[in-house]
Amino acid sequence: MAAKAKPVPQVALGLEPGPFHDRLVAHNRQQAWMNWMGYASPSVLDTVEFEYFAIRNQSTLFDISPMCKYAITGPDAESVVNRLVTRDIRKLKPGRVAYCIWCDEDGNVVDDGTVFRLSETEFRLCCQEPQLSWLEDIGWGFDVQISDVTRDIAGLALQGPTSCALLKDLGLAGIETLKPFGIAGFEIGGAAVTISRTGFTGDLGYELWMEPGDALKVWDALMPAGKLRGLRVIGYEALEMARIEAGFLLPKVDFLSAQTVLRADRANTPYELGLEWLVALDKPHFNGRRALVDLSKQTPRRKLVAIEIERDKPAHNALVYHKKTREVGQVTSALWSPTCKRNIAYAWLEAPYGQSVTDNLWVEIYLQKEIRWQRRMARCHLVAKPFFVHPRRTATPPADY
Amino acid sequence: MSGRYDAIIIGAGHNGLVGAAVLARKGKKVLVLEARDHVGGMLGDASFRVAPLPYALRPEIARMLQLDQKRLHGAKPVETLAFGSDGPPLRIIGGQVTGTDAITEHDYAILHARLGRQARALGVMMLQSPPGLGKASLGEMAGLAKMALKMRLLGKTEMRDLLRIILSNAWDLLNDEIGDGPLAGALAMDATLGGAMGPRSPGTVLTLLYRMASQSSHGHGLRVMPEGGPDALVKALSDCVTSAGGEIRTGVAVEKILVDQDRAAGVRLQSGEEIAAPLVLSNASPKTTLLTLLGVEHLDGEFIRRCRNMASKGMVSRLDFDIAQMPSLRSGGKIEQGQRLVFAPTMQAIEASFNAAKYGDLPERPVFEATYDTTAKRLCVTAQFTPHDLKGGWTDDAKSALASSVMAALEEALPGLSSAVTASRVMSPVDIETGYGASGGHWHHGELRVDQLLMLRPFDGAAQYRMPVKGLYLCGAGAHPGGDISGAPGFNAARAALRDGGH
Amino acid sequence: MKYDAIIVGAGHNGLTAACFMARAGLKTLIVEKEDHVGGAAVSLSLTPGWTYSNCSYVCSLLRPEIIRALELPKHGLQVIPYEGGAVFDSKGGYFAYMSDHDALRRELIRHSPRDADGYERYSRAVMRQCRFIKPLLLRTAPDPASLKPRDISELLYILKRFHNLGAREMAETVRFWTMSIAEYLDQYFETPMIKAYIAGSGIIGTGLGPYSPGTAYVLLHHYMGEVDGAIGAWGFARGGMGSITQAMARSFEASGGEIRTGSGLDRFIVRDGKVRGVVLDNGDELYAETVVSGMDVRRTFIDHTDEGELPQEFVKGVKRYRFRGSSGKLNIALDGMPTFTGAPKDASFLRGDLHFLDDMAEIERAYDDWKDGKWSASPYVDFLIPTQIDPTMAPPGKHYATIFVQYAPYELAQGEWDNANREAFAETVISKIERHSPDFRKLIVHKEIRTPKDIEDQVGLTEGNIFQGELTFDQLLFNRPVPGYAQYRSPIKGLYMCGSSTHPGGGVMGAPGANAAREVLSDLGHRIDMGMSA
Repeated sequence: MAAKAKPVPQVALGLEPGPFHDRLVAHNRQQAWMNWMGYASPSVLDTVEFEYFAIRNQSTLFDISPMCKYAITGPDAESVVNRLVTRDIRKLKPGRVAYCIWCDEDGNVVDDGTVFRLSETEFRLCCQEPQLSWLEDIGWGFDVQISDVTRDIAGLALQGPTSCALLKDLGLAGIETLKPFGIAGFEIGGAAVTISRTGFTGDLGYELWMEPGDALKVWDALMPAGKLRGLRVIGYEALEMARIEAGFLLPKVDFLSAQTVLRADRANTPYELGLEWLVALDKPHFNGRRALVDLSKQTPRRKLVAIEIERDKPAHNALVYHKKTREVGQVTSALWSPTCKRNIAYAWLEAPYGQSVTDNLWVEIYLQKEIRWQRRMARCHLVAKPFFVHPRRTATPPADY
Repeated sequence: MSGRYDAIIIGAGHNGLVGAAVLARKGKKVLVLEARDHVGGMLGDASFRVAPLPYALRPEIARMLQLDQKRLHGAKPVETLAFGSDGPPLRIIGGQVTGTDAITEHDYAILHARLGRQARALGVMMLQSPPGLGKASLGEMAGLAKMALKMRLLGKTEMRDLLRIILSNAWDLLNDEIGDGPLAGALAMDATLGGAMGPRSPGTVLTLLYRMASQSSHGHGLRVMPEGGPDALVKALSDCVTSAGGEIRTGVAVEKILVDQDRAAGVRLQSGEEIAAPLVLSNASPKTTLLTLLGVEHLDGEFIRRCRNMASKGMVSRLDFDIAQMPSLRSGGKIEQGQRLVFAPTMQAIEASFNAAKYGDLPERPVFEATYDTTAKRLCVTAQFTPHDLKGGWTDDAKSALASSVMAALEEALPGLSSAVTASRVMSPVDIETGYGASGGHWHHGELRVDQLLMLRPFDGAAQYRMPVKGLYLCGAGAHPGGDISGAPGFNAARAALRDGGH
Repeated sequence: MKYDAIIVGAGHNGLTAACFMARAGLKTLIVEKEDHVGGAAVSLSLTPGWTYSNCSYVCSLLRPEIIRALELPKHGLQVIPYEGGAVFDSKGGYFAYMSDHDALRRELIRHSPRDADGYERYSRAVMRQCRFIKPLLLRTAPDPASLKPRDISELLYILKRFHNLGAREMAETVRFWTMSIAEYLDQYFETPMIKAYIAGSGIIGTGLGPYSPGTAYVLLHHYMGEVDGAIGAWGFARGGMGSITQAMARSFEASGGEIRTGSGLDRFIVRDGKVRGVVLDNGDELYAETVVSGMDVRRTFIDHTDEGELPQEFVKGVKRYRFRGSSGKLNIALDGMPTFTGAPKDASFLRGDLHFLDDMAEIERAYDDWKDGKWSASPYVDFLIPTQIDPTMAPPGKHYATIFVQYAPYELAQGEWDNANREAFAETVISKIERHSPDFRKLIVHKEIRTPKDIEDQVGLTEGNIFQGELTFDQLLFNRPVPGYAQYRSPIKGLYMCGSSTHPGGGVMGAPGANAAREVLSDLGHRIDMGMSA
């Protein structure tokens, strides 16, 4: 028999407010929201250009709470994380962060993310795609607890040249000694905040982690302090520009997780993505190792490369040609870089293009000029990643402005 | 590390022994390690046998090992007595049945012969390594081509018929061809015994064909009673190993498979002793071998998931009744040595007893087969649909409930039997699991189903005997082609190992 | 009267075949025993003010290629996707299926974060299977025993597609096609209600339980459809399922076709192994060199063909062909919208398919009852109230409930499908619903009860099987309906089959009809593009 108790309310439809939502609403003059894992995430707050330049010139706040976060703890936590990722995590000391990828049994990349080693036996994984069942599979048979802490931790990315100074203004003693990829605990606005010197911008910057209940307290402390430091709340679009310049890849844009592809050949190996530097084949067994050993000896089927394009129009969704005739690949992310003053992009090139054949490559750009489309072939050149990296990203202590 | 061996075989079941014999005859120095104090695995010894009435070894294997097949298949074929709800039992030997009407006799003979032909066509794959998916070798493709050719040689009608029934259920096939009754019941028992499927479950024609593919000097699809009993078969196999210079140690349990540089390096015994060898063949079930003996740290997450997902829910309990004086059959006559009694009056009855097992209950009226050992005066019962995951667990009460429901059915056919019982014992699927390294207590180490056959046996990525850690091979019933006493998995695994070693 | 082609039966497949043939310029006639067209896709008014989708009740499988080629929207067809769905358990809990991906994720997390992850993996796995099977639907299955170039090249086409899946997916495909839906779902989910919700799609219309191997494939039969490219989505045909066949009939007539209702087939006229026409039950004789039967294979060849005209093997195969009705249906006119104790007020998910289940074992037990020749004591029901979306089927404020019931046997072990048993069957269903919706019973204004026997008698589906025969492997692809005769042709020259008992089987898909038409037209030397290349 159905019980008398009142039924559970229906779950919310549409976008959910995140922990900073009340403040974001106030700043979001464009009312332009996008969907990030079901959360309302601002795409633009007022003007993309100004938000972007604030990243490179002042400092910026971006809500990263929707990011998937997992706690991996217990006596075997190190073994399990080491089984998961392709880097040798035994070398990661407590209080440090590492950018990692992890692969399936066929050596295809499942996702990328950052691994925080909070202590000998406590790790936190931050990534874009849900990974709970993946992590549970990897951890099966080990003495480890794995839990989804996405909703238990709010996150803010504070990025830009003045970010350190801003935090110092708030009285965060010793923040200037925090090295890139370091983690330390502080207090902001009376709330405990874990700060990691990490980010997605290739610039000086920090990520602030706190309990969702403290989110607004921290926000409200940061904003007034930021007044002097040109702090600006930004949306996804500005960040996207910075991340392309900084050489980071974005799942679902530049590559697809092996877990999500419908067509078997759409998955990508670290060698194809140019991420072989993250693969430590000599460490104990980890997921996909046997396949990666084989792949490391083969020529990748295709390669994701960084290109610079002649002339000034960004090559969104463009096809890449060899000698202007043979289709050999396509662009995934493209941008006129306002800081580098270069026309940059990432592109997939089918072998041997981008590997043994690197010259005479062209992108086909469609330009709309007063509702008329024009097709333009522009020459492009392979270049090294990242497009932009500033010494201030790694300087410790950072300059005081 | 002590000693030097070319290969270690974990488990002295018949497949382990066959594998060891094949390697030893190729000049490999082999060591067979058996946790129990006798060899033979589920064939057992005088005290207890999981499989008291085996099928015959594949003739090709028996020939290669130079075994005396005539002796091993016994002087006469095993006769099946199929008991209906009343009246005298039907007597079945191969394609012959007596005790039913002429039309059924005729239809059954035709069906039996047809299934034999179809089973032989599929049986080509028995001694072949299953083809790799998407990367089959030339030899594997040749095996497939041979099977396709054999199927074509059946003729258009019979080939089409095979393709129609192959994934179908025994229920429909037998109802179409011979109608329900004790005869269909006996055949459906062949199709379902040891598995977690009822006669209505699609896939049971394939298991029937699997049984029909067994060959002996008395014909196909028959159990055999070796001269000297199952012990004679065990002895013949272990002699093959030792006469070729192989060594067998009993009473030593393997604790861990040792790995060095991603290669099998030997084993560590529970005593702590380590024995080195570059080749390790495991006759234990895939789950035991991989998840326990090897260890998950050497395996990828998806691989482990598939291993865990492998269907291996054991359904068979074995009951032994020691009998002071075997009574006569109600219908007259005595039970003879080497007869097989089947108590599955109809397919309907089998399906009904499967119903309870689906939900973790014991059937009210279990279906079972039995043999009587006239010298040991022991009635060995193999009761079907007694689930490994019994609700409330396999308590003494549950076991005695099973024993009395089996005895009740026996009593109907053999009046006075229950009062003649001097001792009895029940081995549940859980007992079989703990005693024989068979996960889930499953006879075949894993359900014989299309999704767990050929290149999917025991599961995707672990077929073809070779495990991800080089030098480690599966040689038990969990590997292709599967369970029963065919010896094929052991034989094929040893050959795969030899091929990899360049022999 | 002489026609180029006569189609027997104005069900959706007969109509589809007829449309394509008329469009190719054949003088085509459809004969139909009922007074209306539609077969199992009908909308009838049995009580003033209400229209029921008497048999089939939701739409997804109808191939978009057919909708376009026959210009069905121009002839009045509108398919509207429905949102949501839910399963209510006996403890007052529910699992709601939400069309909105994020809301669904929240709902899954509410039950189990692991299942939320599992759902992503599951839906991609099923999507991959849909991608594999879809192009096969509108192709004729090859005969693996044949050495004809066409069969060999078609077989190679399928093998190549299979091979292109890649090694992992090939293994997954074999598993998917042969596993039980229960075990398949156990790989992805831990919450019993979630599994039970999905498992229903694996058993609807079949004589199998969720634990039976082969039911995962049946799930695909309910997932491979789409509404406007949304794969797996289901919708209502505005005005009921009859509007599909009405649109087809209009399309057919617009191409010059002729429909005769009210008299059914008595027998085919066969001379010298060739079909010459049909004799209707009113005595009319109609002539054509091409006759296409939309009836199931048993009706066509056992009931309406002289056995002497057919090879023995074929007759044996037809007699063996399994129908096994397992489904019943209630159509109910409601005086208002019923409330559900388990559902929050104004829950949006009520606008979808509702079920009352604790777990998959409950469905399996329902199946066990059916095996014993009883209707399920606690049946699986697929309960929808289309009038929450479709304003045309009931007066404003009133509602229509379509209740599909699994399992009900064609033949009862005890007694007959007489009125008392029909009412008792309905009562079993209504009282089950009443446990979750206390006001349901008193809102009933009128009800139509359809047991498998009724479905057979009134619709002409043998034994009431909604797919014109079981969807088990022995009756799929080149085995459907009879091995060697799976390419729409029969042993009698000029006589074709186009019903759901041919590949790819049942569901309001239209594919058998379209495929049959293609074979007929190719035999007649027509080479027309049906706008259906894969």
